[in-house]
Amino acid sequence: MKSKKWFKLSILLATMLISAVLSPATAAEDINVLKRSVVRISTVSQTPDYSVPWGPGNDESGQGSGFIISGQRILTNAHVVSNARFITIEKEGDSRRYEANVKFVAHDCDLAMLDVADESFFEGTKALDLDDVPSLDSTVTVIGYPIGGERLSITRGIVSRIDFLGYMHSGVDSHLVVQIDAAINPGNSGGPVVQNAKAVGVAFQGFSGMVAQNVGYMIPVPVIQRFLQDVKDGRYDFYVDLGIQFFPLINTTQRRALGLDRGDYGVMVSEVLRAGACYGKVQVGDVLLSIDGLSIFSDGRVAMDNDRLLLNEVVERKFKGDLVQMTILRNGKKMQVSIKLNTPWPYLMQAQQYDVRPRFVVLAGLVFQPLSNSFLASLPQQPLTLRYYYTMFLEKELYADHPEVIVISKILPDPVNTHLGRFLYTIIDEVNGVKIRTLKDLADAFAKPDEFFVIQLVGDTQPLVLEAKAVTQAQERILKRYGINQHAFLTGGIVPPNWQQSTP
Amino acid sequence: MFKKNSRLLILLLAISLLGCQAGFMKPSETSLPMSAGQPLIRVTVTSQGYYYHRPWEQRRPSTRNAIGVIVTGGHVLVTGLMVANHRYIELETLDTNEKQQAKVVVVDYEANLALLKPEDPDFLKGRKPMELASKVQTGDNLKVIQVKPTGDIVAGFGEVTAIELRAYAMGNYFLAYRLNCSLQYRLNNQTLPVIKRNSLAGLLLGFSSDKETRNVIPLPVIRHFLEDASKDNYEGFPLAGFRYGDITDPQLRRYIELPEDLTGIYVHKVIKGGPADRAGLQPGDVITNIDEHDISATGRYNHPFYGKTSVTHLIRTGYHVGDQVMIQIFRKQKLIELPVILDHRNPEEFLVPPYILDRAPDYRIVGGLLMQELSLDYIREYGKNWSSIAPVHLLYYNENQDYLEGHENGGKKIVIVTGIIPTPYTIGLEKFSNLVVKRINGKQIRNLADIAPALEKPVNGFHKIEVDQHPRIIYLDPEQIPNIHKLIEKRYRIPIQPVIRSTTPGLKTEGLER
Repeated sequence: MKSKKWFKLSILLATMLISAVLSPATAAEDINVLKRSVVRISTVSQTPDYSVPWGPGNDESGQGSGFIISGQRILTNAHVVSNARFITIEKEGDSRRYEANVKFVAHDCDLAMLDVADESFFEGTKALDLDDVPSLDSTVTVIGYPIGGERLSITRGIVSRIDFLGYMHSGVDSHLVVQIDAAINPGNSGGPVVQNAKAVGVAFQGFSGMVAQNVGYMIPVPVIQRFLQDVKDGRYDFYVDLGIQFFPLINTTQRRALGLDRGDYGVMVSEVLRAGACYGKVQVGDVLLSIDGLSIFSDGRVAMDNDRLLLNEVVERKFKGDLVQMTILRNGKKMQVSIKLNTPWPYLMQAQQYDVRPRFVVLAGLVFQPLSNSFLASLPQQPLTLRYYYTMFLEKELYADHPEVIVISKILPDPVNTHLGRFLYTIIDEVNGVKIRTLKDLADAFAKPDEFFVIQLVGDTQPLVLEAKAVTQAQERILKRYGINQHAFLTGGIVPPNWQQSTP
Repeated sequence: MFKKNSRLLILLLAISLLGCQAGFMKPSETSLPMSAGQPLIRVTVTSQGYYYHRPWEQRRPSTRNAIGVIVTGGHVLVTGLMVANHRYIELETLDTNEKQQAKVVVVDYEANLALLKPEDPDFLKGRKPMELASKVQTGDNLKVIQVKPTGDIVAGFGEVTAIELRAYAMGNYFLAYRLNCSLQYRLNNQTLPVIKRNSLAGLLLGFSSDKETRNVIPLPVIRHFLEDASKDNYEGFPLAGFRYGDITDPQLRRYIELPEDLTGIYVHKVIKGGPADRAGLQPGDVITNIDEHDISATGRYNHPFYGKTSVTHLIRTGYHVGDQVMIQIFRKQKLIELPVILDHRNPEEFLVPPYILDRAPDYRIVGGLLMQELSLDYIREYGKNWSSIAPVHLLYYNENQDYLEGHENGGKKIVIVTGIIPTPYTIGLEKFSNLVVKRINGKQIRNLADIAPALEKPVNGFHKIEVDQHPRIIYLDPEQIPNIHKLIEKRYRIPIQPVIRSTTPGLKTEGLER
């Protein structure tokens, strides 16, 4: 009901805007040329249901936009093609539908590249060139296939703001965004934002009309270029990060205590992630003075691109293994540090995951699943302990003990587990004296023959005891009864094989 | 400090349940004849709680009524929460409408009982106290007394359908009678006496307005309270200090090799420093017998006339503080007897106190940083849905405090910066709240009392306050602090030194200083 209302509202909004923009006679863009670059994307996707982790998931169909760039590549948003099983694309002036495939997808910056097996698709199309970050108050045109009709839609607005903001698709990543006031509606996602016949961004997210008016966002060219550069070697390597948090130093007492003069420079390090690039080189309480030669202002910004951008932007444009040089002040002494950038993995626990199968182990009708964003969202209630492990995973370095937090997520009723109801939503600590750090550890522990499986849980509960004989007898019966085709799925996961090195 | 969410104390909630609509009599009601010297008395209490996110401020005063029962010793028995944070208590006779100020003799917020006495000992002279009924069993018919504003007494009748463990206030469990009874008036009464043949059978614990089921504080709890209250030093209901789970799962029984003929409960937590810990009880022990009572796999024993009853009742109500109980345990294929000397656990002994009543919340303001000890009362300031919207780290401390004992904060209290009072000196810090204080000037902070000594020695001319959350380190200039405090007192009218000093904690509140 709610979404219907929202859709209606947005249709009204879009109509109003179009008429307002079209009345001034001069259209800056030649639409007849531009529309040869735009494609409509239709998908059938399967979203995994984390409450039935062995199942294929719910199938849904979706619509989005995309555009053609040089080299017969099609750019769109990651969220348009996430979990897709079948993708077709269409172009203007051609009634056929062509099958497309995802060549690269970057969920951390919501971009994807598609290719089309049938090269004849590109006949009559025109690749769009990429420009740069458009200036504030300049006019941009949004082209795509949003709701409100079947045919190509064009809206126009100005660049309202350039900022560093969260990307909703993963929920944990922030990058450069450009805010525009052209109407962006569901279906616009992945379509180009154009200025002077060149693409200046990819339309990707916005606010519902009930929250804010005419606030739409596009992914700007620096983010697109980084994605194109990253995949040149044939695979996508993710964004890199310093793995720190900092605190703006605008408080004069704080500045004096840290040995800083009055003025607008320096931020204090307030968090150093153990699994991050700065660990061992930067400490809480250090003052960051400059990054790659750019002075850091006391709000954490640097002068870049004729603007003041967050210092993160320096790192944003780099790649795995690249170096960044920082000047820091520690106990009143200036020091130079050189940081080799990486992708800190513990963040991914809180990120929304796509194109992955839920991982699980079933034993004695107990379903064991690692804690993750999608898993937590699938629960009918969110017990405090799970909320704590999820929220504090990074801050309290909970990953050092439990890189994967294994939860008893479901109890499929059977005589073997009829007394175990109280253990629902508890976290596994040990099995037969062996610390369980990953789902694989758990599967290994269960594969070791013993008379009993004694499972110790996190917190003050009694142990969960299973008789191995009873478990073996029950296993096939339970899998058959509940239609589970495999007792475990272990492939994938966010924890890198060398996680112990990154978490001393 | 300037949180929008206000909250209701549990006790305020209770009033709204009981007395949102003060009903008035219909002419056809059956009134009981009122006898002179009736052992019932109207009690009016005006209370004033505290704001825990503005600890220098008291809530608005609120007044509520109860029907108290005159018991031996010239005392009046009411429910405990009735007098929580009281400012003024008044007694009024039902027949002669005489009024008299009263004070609290003893209050127990866990068992929810209080004894009052009039300032003038002669006030109740000539009024016969009500005897306690000898016993109440399932199936008994009890009478609930209501008193109309005119003083007329109306009774509701109901049957005891069950006698079982119920949650009382403050997360404590005691036995209660479940009474199936409809009351004729929605009077604004907190305490209603429950009578069996002219003797006191219990006090109404509260009821849900949509159901006809009421819970009644039963005789054993009242008797225990009155026995203890007659001693010089009220010590409260005892605890053994362990947590247990059932042992119904045959796989668990076989794993711990429990013989077929033994039943018991599985101890999974022994509270550090508590009676059971002192006696040597360990996690993994199976308690099979307590003072000659065999314990079932679900933690019940055979009560002579209540039948299967929880061990919680046996320990809390069957004994007094200082009593020794013999606990038989099964450990490593052997039966061992452990003498446990029972004790009470005061709310102050918790890492996160479950309740703070009758005293102002303690706090410190240091250079605009408002520091308090974490308590459940503070967490409840997040409103009706506090258990889902309060910061997750605070909830986790509260829920797992036994588990965290001896882990992070040394087991005393958790000191948090609950907010920052904005002044020109705190620019850039205003938005921080709920930061757990770890150290000040390098000294560990385990309660509020640790703060003052830690502030005596600034490091390199500044106070260094280390917290467990972003921004991790906050610096204050010792020389600026007096100026900041002056500014706060002038602009915000917030007293830097608490005007209301906390009294020494304890349940006995006679001569309570305010």
